[in-house]
Amino acid sequence: MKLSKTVFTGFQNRLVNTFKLRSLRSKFMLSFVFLSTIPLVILAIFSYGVYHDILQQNIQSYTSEVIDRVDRNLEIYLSDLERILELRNDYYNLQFIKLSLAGDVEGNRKFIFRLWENLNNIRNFKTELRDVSITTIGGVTVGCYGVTHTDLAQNVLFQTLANRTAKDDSIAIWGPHPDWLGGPVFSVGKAIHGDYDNFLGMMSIDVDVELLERICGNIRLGKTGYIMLLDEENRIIYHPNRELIGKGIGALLGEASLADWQQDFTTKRRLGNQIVRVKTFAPANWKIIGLSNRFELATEMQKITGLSLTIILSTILVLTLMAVYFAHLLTNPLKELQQSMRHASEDLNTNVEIHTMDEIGELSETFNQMLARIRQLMKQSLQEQEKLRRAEMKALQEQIKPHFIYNTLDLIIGLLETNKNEDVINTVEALGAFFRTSLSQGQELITIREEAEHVRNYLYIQRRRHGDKYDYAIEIEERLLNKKTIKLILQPLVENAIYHGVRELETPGGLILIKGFLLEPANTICFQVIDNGAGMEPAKMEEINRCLRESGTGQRYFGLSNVNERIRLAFGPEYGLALSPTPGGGVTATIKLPVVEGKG
Amino acid sequence: MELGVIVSLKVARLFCLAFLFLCLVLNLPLFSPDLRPGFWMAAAGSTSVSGSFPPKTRPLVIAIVPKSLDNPVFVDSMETAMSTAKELGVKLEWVAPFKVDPDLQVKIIEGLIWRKVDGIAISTSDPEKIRKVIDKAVEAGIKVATIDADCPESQRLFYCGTDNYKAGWACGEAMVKIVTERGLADKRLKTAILTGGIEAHNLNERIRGFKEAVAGKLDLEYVALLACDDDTTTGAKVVEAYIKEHPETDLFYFSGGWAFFGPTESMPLYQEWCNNGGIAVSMDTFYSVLQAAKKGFAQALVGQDFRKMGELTVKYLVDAINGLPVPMEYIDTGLELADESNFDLLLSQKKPWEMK
Repeated sequence: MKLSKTVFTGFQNRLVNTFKLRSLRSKFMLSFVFLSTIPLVILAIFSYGVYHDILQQNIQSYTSEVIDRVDRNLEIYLSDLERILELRNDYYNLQFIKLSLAGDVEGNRKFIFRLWENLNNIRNFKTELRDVSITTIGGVTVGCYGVTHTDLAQNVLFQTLANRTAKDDSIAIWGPHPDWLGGPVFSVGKAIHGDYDNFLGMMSIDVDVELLERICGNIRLGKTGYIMLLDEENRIIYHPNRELIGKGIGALLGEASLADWQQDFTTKRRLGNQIVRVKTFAPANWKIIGLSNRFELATEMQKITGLSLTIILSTILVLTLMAVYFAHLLTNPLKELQQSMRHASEDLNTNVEIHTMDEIGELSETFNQMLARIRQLMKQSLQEQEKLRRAEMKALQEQIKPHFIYNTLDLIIGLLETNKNEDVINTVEALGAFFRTSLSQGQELITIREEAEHVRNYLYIQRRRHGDKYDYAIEIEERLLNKKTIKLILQPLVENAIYHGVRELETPGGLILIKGFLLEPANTICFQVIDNGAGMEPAKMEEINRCLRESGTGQRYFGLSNVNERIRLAFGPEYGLALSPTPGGGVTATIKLPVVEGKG
Repeated sequence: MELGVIVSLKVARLFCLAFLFLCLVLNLPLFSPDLRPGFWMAAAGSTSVSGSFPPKTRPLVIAIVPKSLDNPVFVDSMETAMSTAKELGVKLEWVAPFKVDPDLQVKIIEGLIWRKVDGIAISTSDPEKIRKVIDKAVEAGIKVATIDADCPESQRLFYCGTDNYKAGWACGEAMVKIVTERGLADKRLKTAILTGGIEAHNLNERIRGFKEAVAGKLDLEYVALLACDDDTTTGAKVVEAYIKEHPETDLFYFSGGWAFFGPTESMPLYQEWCNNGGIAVSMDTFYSVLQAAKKGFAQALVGQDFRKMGELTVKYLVDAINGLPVPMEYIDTGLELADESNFDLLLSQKKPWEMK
């Protein structure tokens, strides 16, 4: 089982490789041609065998039929002659014989004259009759041509009849011999007996051998087959080739063939195989031989083979063309479907335009439905993502508020505790401005001007809290002020610069510099929050940058991550935040944003 | 002595060799039947007359070939020929076409040549056609004669029969006599003639004799030459038909008596013509012709001696075969004249054919 599977697989692979059956179309075509051709070839082979047998049988049966017909014709002719010979006991015949034997010439006058008339009338019944005669045991013969003398010892017919008993009243036949005019005849005769069953002579009919030509001459067995007749000594008495008449059959068919005359047989000859069938014509012990040429059978079969091959080849050609057509019919929609699907893989907004009523049509319909579903799902997904992003933004913004409020409230409390009312008022105003910017009426994007103002308020508040320990400066290019940015991105960085930078300094003199400028070639807005604070361990900085690059890695470095995530959510992963050491100490936080034009 | 033994041994050896050779020659055909000539060669050539026939250990065979078998005039000749042949110890064959057919007569003669009969006597139905085959037979060593109807300019040995010119002349003389007796000699008379075959030499000779006999004595206008091919029925029919169409005919000359061989009841118009004064002279004095003449169907008859023809033909032919001289080339068997004066006498001497 395994072996057969292996062999089958091997064959299949070989087939695929040999015929390069990589496409559905070629597989279909080859299968179609194979499946159509194999039964045709099998049918042709079987038909050939069957037809060959039938043809051979037909030839044999036709030959036998023809031989039977010849036999029947000879018998019919012979029976006609036999009926004529029944006139042998006519009164005039008997009187002639008796008077002739008695030597009464004058007394025979009227009988002779009558006999001449009668015998000539009989002869005129059939064109092949050469003579009808009465022969006496005295050797006198009266026939259609007068009175002659017969050498009885030489007359085979007479001898045959004379040697029979009176009871044997059947006809006798003498095979072809020359009649008294020298022409070839065969003779049929019956004995004439006297009152005491004594043999008086015979009545005989000489038949021209042309009769045999008439009976057998027109018969053709195929193109070259023919009928011939042999006498009882196996000499040819009729053959289409007159030169062979009189020769022994051995000269024609070989002596070996004579051994098996009683049965039909087949013998091989020089000019191809000949089918020879033999029948004995019993009354004369002649043999009727039908020879048909098997070579003609082969020729016939060659014709059939040629015809079959032509039909098969034509059929294969037609089938191939049909296969090509059907393959085209079937695979073309598939190809279209394939192209449409390929197109759809790049652009989901396409549709497959195949409107056939078959499975491919249904498949296309289903595919279109699937595309529509995908588009719907994607739209839904985008909407959900948008919603999610908004929710996250909101949540992030929400996270900032408590953190800052606590600290600012702590500051105000501290100012109130120290009765610095002026500062409290300023701080509260700054806080108010700070919150206005934070809220921004729910807008995501604010102008850079607003963002700068927001961070300024924040720095004011923080500086109130931390005293003069550090200073700050905001340097943003004028042309950028009306551009848009997402809000609250500088404040957390400033917060980090304060808490992890300048506040950590042992001595006053800390500076936080906020720069905003346009990177011309990249058309990118760049914000930098530079401090000259305590700085950061390079390893830590590296870790923070890694966390920023791999967004969503957790809750560590909350402020920086918050800013970074928001920027990426709003503008994509190519934007965001990165830290770098400030030359001379400190940390520089750099934000890259796209240029977003503000309204008006 | 020694020499004598050697010679006798050589003679014995030669004798043995000759004996063996003879045996071989005699037995050769028995060993190879297919090589025998004869029929098979003849068959291949259809009606060729070449080939062999059994060797002549038989008696002499002579054949007489009349113009046809159905003409009863030859019966008398056949009877006398057969009797003469029997007397002479030769076999006589009497062969001919049933009806006059020169071509078939030629074939029959060729068959006789092929069979190598010893002698042939022919009543020539068409000299032009028969002449060649007569010469062929003569060249084959067969003695050939003509009987009843000659074939001039052939190589035949002799002719035995009536002098047909004389017979015709006798008919003419009889016609002159009857016409003159009736006082019509100075009138122009329409004359019809019945003959057998147009080409038959003997009949043409009779007609020539007739015409020359009446020439200068009667003023005859020959209005018709009718032919019946020696057929009795045709003869009567042709004459009856002619008289029906031309009852104004004055005279009838019959170069043979065919029209009167059968029953004369079949010729009522001719009989009426005779009763109205028609004059007829006919050849032949057979019983039936005499009977017809007595009824008035002919006023004069000139007969031939067929019995003598048969007898003399066989006799001289056998003589010729046996190397004896034939007395003359032209053997005249004589004439028999008949008119009203001897019709009864001749009828009493002859007998009917009684063939049917």
